[in-house]
Amino acid sequence: MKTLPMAKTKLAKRDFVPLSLWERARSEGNGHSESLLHYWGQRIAMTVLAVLLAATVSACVTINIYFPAAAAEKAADKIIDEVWQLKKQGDAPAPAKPDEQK
Amino acid sequence: MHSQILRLWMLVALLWMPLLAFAAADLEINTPAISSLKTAMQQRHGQLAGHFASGAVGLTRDGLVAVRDAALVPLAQRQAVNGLVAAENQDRQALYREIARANGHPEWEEEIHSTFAQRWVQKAAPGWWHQNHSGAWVRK
Repeated sequence: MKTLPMAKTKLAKRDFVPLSLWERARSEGNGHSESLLHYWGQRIAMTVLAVLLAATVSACVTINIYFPAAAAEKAADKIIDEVWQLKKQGDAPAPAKPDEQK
Repeated sequence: MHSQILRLWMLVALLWMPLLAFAAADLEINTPAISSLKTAMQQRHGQLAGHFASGAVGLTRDGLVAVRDAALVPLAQRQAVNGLVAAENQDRQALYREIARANGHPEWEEEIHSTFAQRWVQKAAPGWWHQNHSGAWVRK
């Protein structure tokens, strides 16, 4: 029987489950069922992680490609307001609380 | 193994953090170059505002300004208005370029330019003239 090279090492049993281990466990009986559950739980966790990592990396790449239209609009509005002086700042120069500091 | 997975989760969480910040972030518009352009344009607007209101000068569809009807300007002032329009357009183009550069994306200049084109018209006072999509002058 041809096995994956990883399955031959002792480390592989604890840290990683190649498909061949599943087959071996089935032929050996149910003595390994508990640890198999543990292995598969880890396998699933690792798969989810890998997918998330891939998504993260691709998001980091794409985020810089797309133009932030909403932020640009906001920046434009701010500059136009200043250049055309549309927002009067002199309306209420915060004398709202002159405070009775007698 | 568990600590390994935990560490990986933490890495993923960490990688997403700047992304969350980015979603809420504004464009950088507070550089010295942008500020001085803003100041120059603000001062020039004091001289241009009257011409916008009279209809002599209008907002073009490409985010700049243009003399729409020179006849509305007294002959003696026409040269000056042409100069103001030319200077304004120079500053506007420099502004769009500077914003793109200040944010580390010189290639955004075109999109910033067209964003401004829309916003200038949007914020123009009633009675001012601007170009519509086909380039015809319309009064707001």
